[in-house]
Order: sequence, then C-alpha cells, then structure tokens
Amino acid sequence: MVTGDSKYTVLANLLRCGLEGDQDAYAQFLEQITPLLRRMTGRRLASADVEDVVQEILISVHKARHTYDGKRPIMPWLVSIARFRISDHLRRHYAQMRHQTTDIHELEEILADVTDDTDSHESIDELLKDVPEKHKRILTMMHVEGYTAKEVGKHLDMNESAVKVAAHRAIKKIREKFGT
Amino acid sequence: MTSIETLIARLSTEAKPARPLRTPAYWSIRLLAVLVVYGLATPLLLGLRPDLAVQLTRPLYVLEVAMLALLAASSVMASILAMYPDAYQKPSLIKLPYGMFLVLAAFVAAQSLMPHDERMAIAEQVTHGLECVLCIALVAIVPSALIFAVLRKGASIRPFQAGALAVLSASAIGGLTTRLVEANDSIAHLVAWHYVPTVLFAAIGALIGRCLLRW
Repeated sequence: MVTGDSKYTVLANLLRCGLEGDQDAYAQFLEQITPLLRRMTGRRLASADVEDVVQEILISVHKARHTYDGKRPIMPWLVSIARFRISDHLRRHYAQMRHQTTDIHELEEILADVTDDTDSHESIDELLKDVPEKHKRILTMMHVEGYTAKEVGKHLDMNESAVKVAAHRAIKKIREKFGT
Repeated sequence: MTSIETLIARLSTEAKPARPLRTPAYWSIRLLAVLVVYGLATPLLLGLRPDLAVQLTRPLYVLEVAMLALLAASSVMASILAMYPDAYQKPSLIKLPYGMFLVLAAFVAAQSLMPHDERMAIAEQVTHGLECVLCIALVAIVPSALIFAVLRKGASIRPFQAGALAVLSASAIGGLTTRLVEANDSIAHLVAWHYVPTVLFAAIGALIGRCLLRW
C-alpha cells in the first residue's frame, strides 16, 4: 500500500533526480504534482481559471526548483509556491475587476448622453463611427461582448496594458467628440 | 496533448542540472562573517567616540549596542529564511527581528524614565540629527546591497518582508556604527534620529524588495 508519506518521498526523490539533470524524472514529478495543484486551485478559484493558474504554478515550481535541497519535506515547499501564485492571481483578478468597473461607469455616462441627444447619434455604432477600427473592436469586445482586457489582448495579439490604454483613449476620443 | 502536458514537456526539456541553494545556515554564516568585519571596520575608519571607554562601563549603553548587534544578526537570518518559498520550514523565525526591534525601542524609551546617569554624553544643541540619519543610511548601503545580492539567488514569496528585513539589518549595523562614533546619548535624539529613521528605512526596503525580488 502506498502511504501519503511514501508518495511525498517519491515526489522529493523525483525532484532531486530532476535537479541532477534527469529530465524524465522531472517530467514525472511535474505530472504527479499537477492533480494536487488542480485540487488545491479548484478549492479557491473558479473552474475557468484553474488550468491557467495550475500552469502558472508549474512555471513557478520550475523557476524555484533550486530552492529545494531534499533535506526537508517537499509538501510545505510546494504548497507555499502554489498559495503564493493563487493569491497573486486573486490580487490581479480583483484589481482588474476594479479597473473594469471604472470603465463601465465611464461608458454608461457617455451612453446616457447618447439617449438624451437622439438626433445626432442613435446607436453605439454611430457613437463609434470615427474611432479607429482596432479601438472600436477593443471597446466592443470589452463592453459589449464582456471580454476582459487580458482576453482581448490574447485575441488581438496585444498585451493587457496596451488594450487598457487603447480602450481609455477610445473613450476619451468619444468624450471629446460629444463634449461630455 | 493538453496545454499542461505541452508545458510539462517543455519545462522538463528545458530543465538543466541545477545546484540546490545552500542551507540558510550557510548563507547566514557567510553573510554575518562579512558584515561583522564591515561592522568593526566602519567605526574604526570613521573614528570612535572619545568617551567610548567610559560608556563601556555603563551597562545600559553596552546592552543597547548588544541589542543592535542582535537585531542586525537576527534580521540577516530572517531575511535569508525569507528567500526560500517555505522559509525553510521555520516561518516563525522570520518574525523574530520585529520582536527584537520592539524590545530595543521599548528599552531605549524606558531609559527616559530612569534617573540621569552622569556618564551619559548629552549634546548641548542637537544640530547634527540629519547627519546621524545620513551616517546610518550611508553605512547601510553596502550591507543592503550584499544581502539583496544573496536574496536574489532564492525565490522569495515574501518580497516585502525579505526587503524590509534586509534593510532593517543593514540599518541596525548603521545604527550600531553611529552609536560607536557619535558622542550623544540623548534619548530624544536616539528615538528621533536613530530609531524612527531605521523604521522608515525598513519600509523603503520593503518597496525595494518588491521590485528586486520578483521572480
């Protein structure tokens, strides 16, 4: 029977062999920790985020592998890295949500003015008429289709901050155009 | 192949043999050896206070200097622990320097309630407060750089704490040097120009840690 302790000893041995350059052992180590990381991540995050965060944790484990010397239990080391990345993800997630809330408020202000002044512009399409095509696509994806800046960036091959800057500039341009 | 399987295949192919990071004891001893030499050489270079022999007969002065040395040593060890993701499974030791600093601050503050000791050197006009801050800061630069260089070898999940502890340690060495060089034992001066700046430096260290210890 394989006990929890012997399972962790196996993990520690695989990592030690990996540190010595045994790539197969290292691959086995990463494969064996993946279900543990999935369970741990699944308890704290929405299921849609689990795979992304597990990948981030695996990369972190890879980067920090030299900090494990095999002289202490492996699980606290592994759990510390996993918790760190999960918290990091949650911090980014909430920061992004705050940012998006602000953007939506900005857009709502503009849309309110549009309905007040129906003669000059009757639809969002008209509102976005003079906005460059790429900016228009970004605004539509973020505020109509509900994508996050990160997802838009991935889709349009841009980084997240560039997407946010483009969205901000587009909104500013619309504001200037309608004097809001 | 799923993206995780692809990632594992990539990481295992990339994995070159890596030498495990040495133990905290190894790094602490190595750093402390350098810092002790630095901590002894700097006051000698700057010039010891003229009444040092008299002050060394005063138990409260000796105790304060010893506590500063202990604060520096415990902060070095704690920052070294913080460079391991799991704090080398001794997380409680990371908090030790904070306790040490509180005890030291309480000890210094308590001296203001004690009867005045004739052997204490009290400067008539405290005009060199900023010089003390500058002295602590300048002396702390080299130890801070050394400690950060070591911390960057690890993978800290506590970059704020590791940075704060590194600079706290370096500032304690700066404070210790200043106490051995400057002939002023005024408690108000010590609190305002030695210990409060030390806290501020540690806070700056936390921000530096956030920038330098990312991985």
